[in-house]
Amino acid sequence: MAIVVEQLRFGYGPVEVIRGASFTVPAGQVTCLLGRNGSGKTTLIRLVNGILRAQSGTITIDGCDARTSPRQMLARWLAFVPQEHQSVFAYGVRELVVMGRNPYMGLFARPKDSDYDVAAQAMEMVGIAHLAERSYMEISGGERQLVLIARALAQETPYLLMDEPTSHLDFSNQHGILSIVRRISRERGVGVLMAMHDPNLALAYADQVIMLEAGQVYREGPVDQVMTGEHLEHLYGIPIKVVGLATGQQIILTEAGHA
Amino acid sequence: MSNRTARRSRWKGSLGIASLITLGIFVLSLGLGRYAIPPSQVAVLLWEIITGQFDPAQATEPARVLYYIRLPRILLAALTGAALAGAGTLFQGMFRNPLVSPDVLGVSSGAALGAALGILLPGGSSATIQIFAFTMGILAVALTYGIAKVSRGQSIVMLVLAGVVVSAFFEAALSFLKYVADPYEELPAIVFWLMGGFHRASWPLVRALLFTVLPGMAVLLLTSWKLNILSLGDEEAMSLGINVSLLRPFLIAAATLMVASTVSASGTIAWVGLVVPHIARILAGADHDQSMPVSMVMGAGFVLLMDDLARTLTTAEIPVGILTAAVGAPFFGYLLIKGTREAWK
Amino acid sequence: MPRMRSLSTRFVASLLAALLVLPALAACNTGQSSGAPASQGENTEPNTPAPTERTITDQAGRTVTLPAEVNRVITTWRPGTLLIMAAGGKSKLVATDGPSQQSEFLVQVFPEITSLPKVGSKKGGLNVEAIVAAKPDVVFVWSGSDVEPVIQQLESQQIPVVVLVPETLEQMEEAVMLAGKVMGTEEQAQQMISYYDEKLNMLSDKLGTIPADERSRVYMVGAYGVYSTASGDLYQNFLIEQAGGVNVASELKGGWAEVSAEQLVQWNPDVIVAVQYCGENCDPASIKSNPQLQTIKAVQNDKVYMFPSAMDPWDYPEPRSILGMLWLAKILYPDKMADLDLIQEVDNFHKTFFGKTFTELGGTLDE
Repeated sequence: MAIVVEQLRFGYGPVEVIRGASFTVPAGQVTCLLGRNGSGKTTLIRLVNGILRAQSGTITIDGCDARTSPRQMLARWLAFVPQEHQSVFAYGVRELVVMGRNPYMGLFARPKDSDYDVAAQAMEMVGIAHLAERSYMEISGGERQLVLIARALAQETPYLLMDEPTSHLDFSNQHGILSIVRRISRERGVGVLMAMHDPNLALAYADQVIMLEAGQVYREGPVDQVMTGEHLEHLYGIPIKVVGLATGQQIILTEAGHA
Repeated sequence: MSNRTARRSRWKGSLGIASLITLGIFVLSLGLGRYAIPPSQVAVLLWEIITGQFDPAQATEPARVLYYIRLPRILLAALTGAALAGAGTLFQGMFRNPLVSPDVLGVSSGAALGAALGILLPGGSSATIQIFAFTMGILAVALTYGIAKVSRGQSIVMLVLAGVVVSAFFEAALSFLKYVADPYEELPAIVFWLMGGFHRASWPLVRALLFTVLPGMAVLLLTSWKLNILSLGDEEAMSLGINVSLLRPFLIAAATLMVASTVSASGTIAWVGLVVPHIARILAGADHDQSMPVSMVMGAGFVLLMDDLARTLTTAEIPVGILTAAVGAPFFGYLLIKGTREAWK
Repeated sequence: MPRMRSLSTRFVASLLAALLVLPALAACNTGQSSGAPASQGENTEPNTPAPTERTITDQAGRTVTLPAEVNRVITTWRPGTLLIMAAGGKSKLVATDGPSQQSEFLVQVFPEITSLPKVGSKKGGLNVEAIVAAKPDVVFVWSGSDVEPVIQQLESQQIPVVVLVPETLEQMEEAVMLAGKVMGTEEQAQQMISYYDEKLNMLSDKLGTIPADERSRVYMVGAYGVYSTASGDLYQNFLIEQAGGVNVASELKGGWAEVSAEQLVQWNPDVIVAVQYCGENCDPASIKSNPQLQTIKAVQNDKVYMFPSAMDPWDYPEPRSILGMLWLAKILYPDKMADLDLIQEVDNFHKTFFGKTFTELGGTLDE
């Protein structure tokens, strides 16, 4: 039970961005996608999602070929949380979350009671039930991200794709969101693939790590095996130390800043 | 849950009020006109028509005026208003831009060119002009869509840009036709057509329009919830399971069918498709499932009211497009100043 | 409750549909399409036996059934009103378009015209209800695709509509005769035709024998300024020829044609005549002082004129254009036309057909 990607290739014209990437996203675990800017993290997420069409390679989800699946079917397997959502219309939070039920609705259908129940549960789980009546435009950045996550939850998919969910958030929100994501993964058995810009957060919350370098997978595997100083230094190109603390936590440091 | 009930009754309230007002305007319109018909007679005639007892061959003069002249015109105005407002709501949602009007993909420019062609070609009757206008309106949108599709897939931005290009092209062609048109007959006829108005209304025309406008309206109403998803942008819509490359052209086709037919029947009537969706959003909320029906009902009422003024205010006929602009534009300015933070950013 | 919401939208859809479809269905039930047959004839009371009817064919080829007597006439555009008045219909007019009532000439001729109901205009649209409310026996309209819906709606009210197309001299004479027949004023209509025929014959008698190379060459300044002129397919071209002249631009086509200053100089017309509505810088004084045109014969010989009349242009295909021809003939061939007392002719014409002399109406022939 996993998303299995083999030899994915994708480029814009002559420029190849993803050059034969292969990796696995296991069910029920949080997998972080790490890499420098321009390594292709965002592109890769969109390829798995089907928003971009790969030029070659395969993507299978629990054995089914994702590339030939109709869009609506795919949306019952994969949910997507974008980095942020710019809203043109003043949808309410509940209205946005219930949109996650779309994959289960026909062309002329509207959300039923049961759909609203699922949405309510999703909002509960993520802790924004009290915001249900509010307008999306009026809530804070952290709360908005939670709305997008709740919407993805309402899709009731076995896998969740996230594109740098924390890059616009403040410190407390970053940790708040990620602990919720990990909880979702544990409690609902959801396999999460998230592109992450901060290796420390990956260290703290991920089970698996995929290191992406120039469109190819450099290293892949469990966090404690892959997130070594040597690998991280290779990936980011700066001196890295992974330091263990008395609490048992680890932290990644570089030389810059205060000693 | 009580808050949801509250919002639902807010919508039902606004739909109810809008429907009531529009119905009121409809009834009022039946009694208005340069030919005086007492209200009691109007009521009797209306009843006869609805129950099928009406026989035109035996009718008195007031009944004939009501039946052949006034009623088709009222229906045409209402249909046009509903179609334009509905299409406006659709395009504003689809293109994620509250400043977009039903002309965004070029249907009006195409129809105008078609009408001019129909006027210039020898032996052109009123019917041929309408057919030309309709066909060219559809062609213009097809061209826009084709251009957008050929260039890197039909993203929203490409569609709007292609619409700008196609509109500009058709308008240039129209200018050329105006230039070569005979200044005595053809040019005034073209200018007259462009001004727009419902004086061409007749039963055959209304019936023809029912075939194109009603299905379009039905499609737009039934898919109005899906429009919410579409309005999130292509990436999110796709991730939520919408096949954008099928749904979007489908909706564009439905809306274009509606607008092309109303424009070919009544010319370009501006501001309805731009302003009414805004007001509907303010009253009924951002959820298109709620704002679409309200928009259509309000559009019908608004255009009907403007046409009532157009045909009764002075002894002449004021082109209805002037009235919708005169009312619509300042109102829009007022909305901007007031800051419609509720409805959009 | 969301289920109810989906119902609500569908409810609205079906309500709208019902509201719109029901009357249309009713229309199908009664088995009539719009446009009741014109053979009904009467147009006020149903079930009264039709008075004696007659049919005529109008200038659009339509067969129109008219009541035996026509006493209430509506005209819908200014040239039409002029024509109807010249054909003797002044006393029968019950309503006109707005612009007709703003024409200085028409108001002078028929001051009561301003108290008649207005029914719209050619430019902005006709208000059919207003027409019906004035209870006409017949409505005269122009020909064109824009007037078709009006015709259909009037026919559905069993009101006879007669289309007039006065675009050439022949058509204009036809129109006058037709209007006379419709209104029962054949005598006056015939009078106008006779007058026309008499004058046209007089012109061809006096000027017909002038050999082609001795004819006066005329350049007519058109509606868009000095460098626009009457091409061969305009009525104005015909007018010039009837007056014994040659239109230098007769080979051109397409209404008012644009020419360059060079072309105009090359043509070197003997006479330049400007229409009243030519725009800016096209009056005789401006033309004569225009440096580009100094070499032209017409300018050198001071033969630059404004086509009459200041109150209303006579170069259109309308009843008074014969006067324009006479005026031009006198300008081009003053010797041959020496015994034509123009102002007397013009006064007589107006008195006969419009009830007052030209001078009484306030017209003058000096620029």
